[in-house]
Amino acid sequence: MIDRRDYPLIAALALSVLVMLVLSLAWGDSAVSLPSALRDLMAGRHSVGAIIVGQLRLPRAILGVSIGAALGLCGAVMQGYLRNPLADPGLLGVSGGAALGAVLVFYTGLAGVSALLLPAGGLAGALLAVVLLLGLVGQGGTLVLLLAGAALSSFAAALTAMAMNLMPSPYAAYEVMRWVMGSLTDRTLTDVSISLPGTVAGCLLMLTTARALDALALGDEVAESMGFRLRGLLGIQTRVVVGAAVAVGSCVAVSGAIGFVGLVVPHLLRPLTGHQPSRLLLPSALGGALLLLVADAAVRLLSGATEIQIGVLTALIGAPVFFHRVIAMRRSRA
Amino acid sequence: MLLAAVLAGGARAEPRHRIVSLNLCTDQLLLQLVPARDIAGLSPLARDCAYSVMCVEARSVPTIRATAEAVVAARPDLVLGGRYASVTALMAARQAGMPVELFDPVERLVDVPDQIVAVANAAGVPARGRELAGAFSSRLTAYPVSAGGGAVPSAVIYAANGFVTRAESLADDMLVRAGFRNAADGLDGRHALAVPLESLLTRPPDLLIVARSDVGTSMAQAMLDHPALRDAFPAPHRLSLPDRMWLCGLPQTLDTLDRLIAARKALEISR
Repeated sequence: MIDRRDYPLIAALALSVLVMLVLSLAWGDSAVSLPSALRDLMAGRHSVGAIIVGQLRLPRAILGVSIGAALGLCGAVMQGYLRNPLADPGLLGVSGGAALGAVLVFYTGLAGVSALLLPAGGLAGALLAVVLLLGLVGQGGTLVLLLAGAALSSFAAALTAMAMNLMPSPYAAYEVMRWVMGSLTDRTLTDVSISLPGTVAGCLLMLTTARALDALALGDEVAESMGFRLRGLLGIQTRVVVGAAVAVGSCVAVSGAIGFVGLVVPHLLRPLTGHQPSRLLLPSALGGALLLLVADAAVRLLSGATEIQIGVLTALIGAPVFFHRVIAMRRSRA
Repeated sequence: MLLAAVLAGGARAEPRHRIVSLNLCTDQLLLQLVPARDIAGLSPLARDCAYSVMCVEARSVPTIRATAEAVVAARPDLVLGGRYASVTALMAARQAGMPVELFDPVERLVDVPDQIVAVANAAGVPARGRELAGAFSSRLTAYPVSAGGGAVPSAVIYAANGFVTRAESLADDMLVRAGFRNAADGLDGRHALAVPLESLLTRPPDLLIVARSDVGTSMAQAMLDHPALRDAFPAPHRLSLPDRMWLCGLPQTLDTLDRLIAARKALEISR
């Protein structure tokens, strides 16, 4: 899965993620000395610095890495599986479905019964969205995929907004933005602990499809003749669908639907990995983590009286890439 | 016509019997001033225990929606309202020739008796108003004037979404009266209304007062349960007070003051 040619790229990405991770721990609304905060944290002292770094910045940084990696990987896998460079969990409504599921669990107070119900809600929503998407698209081409995705994501966003307007809390209606665009503000280590297992499991499941994605690039028949089972309980399709739903569902349940990461990152890295789907997976995960950490740093830098949602920034980066794809498609057709 | 005007003028001191109130604060004062049968409608919030200390009493009184149509159709002989909300309904009532009285939110404890008297006078029960206002005043003056001497502990009122209460509000006056210094203004000049968790933790006040409504679930309120707040403000440094205890200047406001003073004493003992 890891090609020797990609070592420099992977090392560079991993190093950048590490640097951004440390930066996001060191940098925030208030000046805190990171070394002394870490010492207090290790010693279990409840100093202000330890609380700020350990309880506010650490969950945010961990979620930035895990969610970014999951979204980046998910984009790469979906693009490989659908053989379509426009596939992205946000664009195709998978994140939107997950957000709807999570919102229904969170605002009805079900999440108070058991914290695990929150990612379960996200997972159910994401799974429903992926199954609907694949059912709608079938053997259709890019246009059908994008239409189905647009329909699914706007439908999910509308249902999310409606559900929140009907909730008893006076604040619920103002929080639509947080779920539709995504946010990492004020997350806790509890959020990390409920989101991380599903995210890791989903990512591992998606990574098992790497070789099959290479074969699929040559067509369904070729892949099957090479011994890859596409359908069935353990088939490639099931692994992609379940993996993406588990990973995206777990992420969105704590962060809301952060868009465009899965679209941009594989798109930028594809030329660097020889246009081979399997080689794209790991760099995409690292690239996604890097992009989300950078976007989160920008949120802290740019926010004024009210915080900018992180999804706004990823969309600002992602939409131009999308435009570029559209123009490229028109050129190739003309 | 003239006779009607004279009668209306003369009736001003008479108790009203179809009073409509469109404001949570006048709702709660009315319930304590006039018999329930004289109230033709209160705002629906009055029955909501998250915002109203008189929510149980309010259940025996009809509620009215704050729309022009509902108010005019109720044919009230007095409409009470706030200065800032339900503007259309109040204007319609005035155009329909109904007496309308507007009240500003109370910003200082010493103004509470005046407001009680003003609402009572409008409702035509001045004697009951003087009784209630007098009781409030004598209870208020019985509190020891918060002594200078020694360090005044600081406090911050922290509500959903990180909103803080700043100076020139009833809650701020209550803090000062209870012997605290409102530290909200020293926290962060960049943010007008909300203070991020990090800023609050960097300059922690001696007492964190968590104001919450506990209606439904929301991320705005979930942030008040953030473990960082729990760790940074252990027991004597933290007081949870529901929204209903702050919102209006009422006789019950002094119960809230009692809680604040008790919290200050607990702080002083822990030192």
